[in-house]
Amino acid sequence: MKLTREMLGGTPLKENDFDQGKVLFYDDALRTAYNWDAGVAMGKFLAGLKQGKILGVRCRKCRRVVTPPRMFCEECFSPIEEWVELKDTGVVDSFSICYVRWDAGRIKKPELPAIILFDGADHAGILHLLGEVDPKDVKIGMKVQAVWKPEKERTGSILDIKYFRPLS
Amino acid sequence: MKRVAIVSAGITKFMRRAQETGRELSFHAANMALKNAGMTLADVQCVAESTAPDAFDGVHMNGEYLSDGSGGWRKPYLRSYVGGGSGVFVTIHGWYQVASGMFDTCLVVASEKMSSCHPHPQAAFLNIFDNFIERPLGCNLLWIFALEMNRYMTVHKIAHEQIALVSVKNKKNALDNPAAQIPEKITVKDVLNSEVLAWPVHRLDISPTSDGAAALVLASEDVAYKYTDKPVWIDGVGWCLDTAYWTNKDLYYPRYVEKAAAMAYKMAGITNPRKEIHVAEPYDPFDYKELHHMEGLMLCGKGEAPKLTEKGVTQRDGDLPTCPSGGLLGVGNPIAASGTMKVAEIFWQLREEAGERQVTRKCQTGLAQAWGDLMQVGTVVVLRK
Amino acid sequence: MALIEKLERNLDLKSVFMKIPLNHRYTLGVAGEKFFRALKDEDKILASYCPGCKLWFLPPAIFCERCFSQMDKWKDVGLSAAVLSFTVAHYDLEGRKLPEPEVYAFLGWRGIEGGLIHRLGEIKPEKVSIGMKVKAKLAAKKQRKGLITDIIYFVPEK
Repeated sequence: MKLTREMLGGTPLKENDFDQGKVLFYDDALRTAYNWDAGVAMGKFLAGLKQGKILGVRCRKCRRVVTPPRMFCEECFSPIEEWVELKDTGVVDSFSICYVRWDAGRIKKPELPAIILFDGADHAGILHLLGEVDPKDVKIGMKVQAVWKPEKERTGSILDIKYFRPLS
Repeated sequence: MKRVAIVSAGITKFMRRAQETGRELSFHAANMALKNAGMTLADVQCVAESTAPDAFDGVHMNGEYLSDGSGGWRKPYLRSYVGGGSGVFVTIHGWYQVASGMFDTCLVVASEKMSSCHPHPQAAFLNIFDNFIERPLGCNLLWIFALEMNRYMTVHKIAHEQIALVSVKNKKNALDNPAAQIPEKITVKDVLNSEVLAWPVHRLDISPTSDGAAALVLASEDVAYKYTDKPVWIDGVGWCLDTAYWTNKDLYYPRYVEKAAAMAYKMAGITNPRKEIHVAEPYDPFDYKELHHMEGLMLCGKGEAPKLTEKGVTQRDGDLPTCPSGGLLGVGNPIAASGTMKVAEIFWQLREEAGERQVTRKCQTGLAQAWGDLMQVGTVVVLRK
Repeated sequence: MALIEKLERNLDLKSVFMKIPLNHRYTLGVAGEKFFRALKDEDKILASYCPGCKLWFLPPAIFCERCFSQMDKWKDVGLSAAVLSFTVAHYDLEGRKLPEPEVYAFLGWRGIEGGLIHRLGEIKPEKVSIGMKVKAKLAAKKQRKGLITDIIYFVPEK
């Protein structure tokens, strides 16, 4: 039973089939807005960001210090109650040089997303952006520091950190 | 526990945009699978269906919407979903419904219509990121892959040229696959010269978004020979989900794929995967992923998959042909259907029905693997003839 | 009742407000293309026939969901239907009161399985009854797009 094109269902369309009126279509937009409860752990983390602090938690059983904070340890399933203030410095675990926006549009000046593992945490960190650095000079293992927005501009959001820059 | 076989498979053309609705695509694949087994809907006792997030086709409760095209009318019908891992997982879902002894036959259908998401399905992926501390950064799905690829390349000191060989191989293999969306003959240089989207990821390192569907018919050992004289037995299944805290783990190695593979190998009695697996279809949404998953599947040591590729071991005439179908890179990536397409390919390979795609070596045992979510899920099936 | 309650206060840092921006462009499908072109260009409402079940189905499809037979035989069932069921809406999707109540009905055609959901117009809600005969009122040809709204609503038929 060898596959042939005739056996296969499917009618491919081209982009301009729509513009040329060859195929009917219906446009719609999702009308959703969410008001998410931040939760016990995330709420406190975001409040910490507003104060210019990076908070983590320690699992008493596993002895791991992790961030983003969570109320329960996902590895041993114990409740977590111990909070730790971490330094706002860390190490680049991986990075990319990205020329594409979230909606697939192109940008000229690339963004530098990176995973930053915080000093004081056990191989734990967050996704953020790098700044004040030439893409050519970024290396895995590079030490970085958070650059914060001025206190009155902070709202309790991940964007209270503008980006991470190399530790000079 | 009953032994379960795949007795038939069906697939549609994979395309960037289909005129068909998701329901019509499901019907084409399911109908082809049923006809190839000489079955009607009345012979189907239950249906296992899979489709990726409702956000793509823009139809809420997409599983329910697709049920009519998946043969689910007034039958025990269930949708399962683990991101990209779905296509192989839905096979496992179908497997345990029959293995339990509750049903003798199961129709497995995976279908995807990503093209409804306008102007590009990429926008729907934004929602995979944490709503509090990631989405405000304006993330983009390419970031996760680029970060993982960079980590993998750096830890093992692998050059992009070595990774690009996978894209070259799979797109060439796809030239012999009538379902393929973008089969083409390219070189390593073409890959490295293609547009940099999110370094180190270039455009030709990535599989396309697609519309398409694939289906399988499963039957228990009691009835399999009624429908075919060459049943392919599902001898091993494994699945594993890792943490959603993806920034807390080292991305260079997919430990969740290893755990899923270990589960499947134990069930299939496999102790030396490199020698005992004769043909493999690991999940390849990006070229480096095929290598990443080969290592997770323990088909070679960590960091060694590029060497196997360079030596030609993974070519169709090699000792461990990998992605003979053309993979996602060549055939297309309709999220849920792509995994099922891989299972169907191993099914056809083991029955020696793959036409020009047939691998040279003799095969008794094959493997299909899929991956999904936020670097989280590994799903594996081991098939034997 | 749960469907109507709205949460309007954003409580400091305890909750975060965000939208999910997604747009869709739906193709109508192979069957849908045929059905809507007939409605748009020829004022017809089409149904399809399943040779396995020996039944006519509306909306039409390329395959029968009950037995998987291909449905190649189609016919025009006309613009006249009967009200099989109806409801009167007083609130819109956002929970705001409608200026005038709107009547939505499930419409059936004799000898045809299934039917269509649409609005009833040019009739007071109190006058609507199950079983009453109605007819599709079509939009002006120039304004039709090949969508269900090419029928403005169904009106009572004498």
